[in-house]
Amino acid sequence: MENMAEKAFLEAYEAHADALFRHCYFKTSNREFAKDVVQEAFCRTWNYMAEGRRVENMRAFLYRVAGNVIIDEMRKRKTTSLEALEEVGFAPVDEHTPDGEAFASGQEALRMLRHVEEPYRTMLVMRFVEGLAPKDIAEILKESENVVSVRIHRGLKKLRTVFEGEQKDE
Amino acid sequence: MNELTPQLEKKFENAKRVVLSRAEKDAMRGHIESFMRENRGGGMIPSPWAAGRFLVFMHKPVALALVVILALGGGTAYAAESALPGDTLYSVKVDIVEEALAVVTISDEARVRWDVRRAERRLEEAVELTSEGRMTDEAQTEIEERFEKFAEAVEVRAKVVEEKKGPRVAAALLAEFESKLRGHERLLARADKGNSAAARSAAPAADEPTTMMATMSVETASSDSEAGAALMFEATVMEDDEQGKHDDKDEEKESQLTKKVRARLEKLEQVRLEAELEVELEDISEDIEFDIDDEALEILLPETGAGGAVDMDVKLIPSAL
Repeated sequence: MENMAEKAFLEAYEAHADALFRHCYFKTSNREFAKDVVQEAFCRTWNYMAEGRRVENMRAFLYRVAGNVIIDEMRKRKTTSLEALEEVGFAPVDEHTPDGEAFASGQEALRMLRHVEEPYRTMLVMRFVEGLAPKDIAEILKESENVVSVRIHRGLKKLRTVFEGEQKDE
Repeated sequence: MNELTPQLEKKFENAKRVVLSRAEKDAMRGHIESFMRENRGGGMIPSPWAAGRFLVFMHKPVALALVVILALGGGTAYAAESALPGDTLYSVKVDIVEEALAVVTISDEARVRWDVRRAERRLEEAVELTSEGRMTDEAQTEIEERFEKFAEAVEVRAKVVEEKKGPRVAAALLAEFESKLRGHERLLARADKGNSAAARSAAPAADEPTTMMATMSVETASSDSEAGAALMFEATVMEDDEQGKHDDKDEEKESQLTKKVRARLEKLEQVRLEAELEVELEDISEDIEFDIDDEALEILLPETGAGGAVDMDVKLIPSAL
C-alpha cells in the first residue's frame, strides 16, 4: 500500500518535474533556484499526502506549492523582489542544457518576460511557455477563467510593447 | 485575440524546450526518494482496524489471549482480577486481560491512560503484598520490572501524543501520572515502614529504631560504672551492628521499588517540564507568527480598513465594561 503511494508519487514526479521546473525557472530567472524550488515543492507535497490528506489534482497542487515555496524563499532571502534575485544569479548556458541554441532563445523570451510584471508574467509563462489552456490555468491558480483571460490579454499587450520597443532599438 | 504574434511565438517556442537534464532530474529524484523514506506518515498506512486486518495486526500472544478469554468466559478473567504476584492467575491478569484491554484501546491518549493505570496497579499490588507480609524477592522483582515497563511506555506514548495532539495534551497526561505516582510512593513507603515494624516485634514501633537504640545505650552507659559502660558500649555496638544490618535490609527492601518510583518521578518531572515549556513556546509563537497565505491576503487587503475598525470596536466593548 505504502509502496503504491510512493510509486504513484514518483510517477507524478517524472510527469510534472520538467514543466514545473520550467514554470519556476521563468518565474525566478534562476536555474539553480528553480531546481531547489521544484525539489522542495515535491517534498512538501509528499508530506501533505503522508499526513493522510488527499490531493485531487496533482499538477495544480504542485504549482500552488511551488508558488508558495518561491514566496517563502523570497522572504527568507530577504529579497523584496524577483528583480533583485535576477541581479544575483543568472545561470550561464551550461553543459546540462540539452540544446544550447534553444536555451539561448529561451533566454530571449525570459529577458522580455522580465519586463512584464506579476501577475501577468506568470500568466504568459503558463499560457505560452507551458502551453496551458486558460481553463487549466484558472484551476491551478484558483482564479476564475475570466480573470485569467483578462490577465493574459493585459500581459500580451505589455509584452508586445516590450517587443516593439526592442525592434525599434535595433 | 489572446495569441502571440508569429515572431513572439518563435521566441516562446524555444522557451518551451527549457527542461531539466536527465542527470539533474535523476539527482533530484534521488533527493526526493530519500526524503520520502524519511517522512513516511501515518496517513499512507492502512488502518489496522480495516476489515480482515484485525487479527493479523495483533501480536500472536494477544490474539491467543483474546481467544482464551472468550473460551474461559469472563469468570477466570474476573477471578484473575484480584491476583497478586506469585498467584497462579497473576499472569492471566497482567499478560492476558490487561494486554487484551490495551489492544482494544485505540486512541493514543486512552492508551497512555491505560499504561498509567497498569503502572499504578503494580504499585497497588506491592502495597497489598507488603502490608499482608507476603512480599517475596521474586514478587518484588517482578513488580519492579513490570512497573518500569509501563512507566516507560507512558513516557514513550506521551511523546507520540505530543506529536499528534500537541504538547498541551501530553503535559496534562504526564502531570496526571506524576501526581498519581506521588500518591503511590507515599502509600508504598508507609506500607514498607509498617511491615518492617511489624516484622521486628522485639523492636519498639518507632519511626527511627536506630536512633532509639542509640539513645537507650547512651542512657545506660552514663548511669553505670566506667567498666560497665565500656561493656555496655561494646554490647551496644554489637547490638547497633545487628540493628544496622536489619535496617540496611529494611532500607533495601523499602527502597528497591520505592527508590525506582522516586527516580521515575524525577525523570517524569523533567519530561513534563519539557512538555510544559513546549506549550509556552507554542503560545508565544502563536502570538508573533502571522502566516497569511497569499490568497487570504488578496481577499483581505481591500477590506482591511473597514474590517479592522469593526474588529477594534468589538474588542473594546467587553474590556470597557
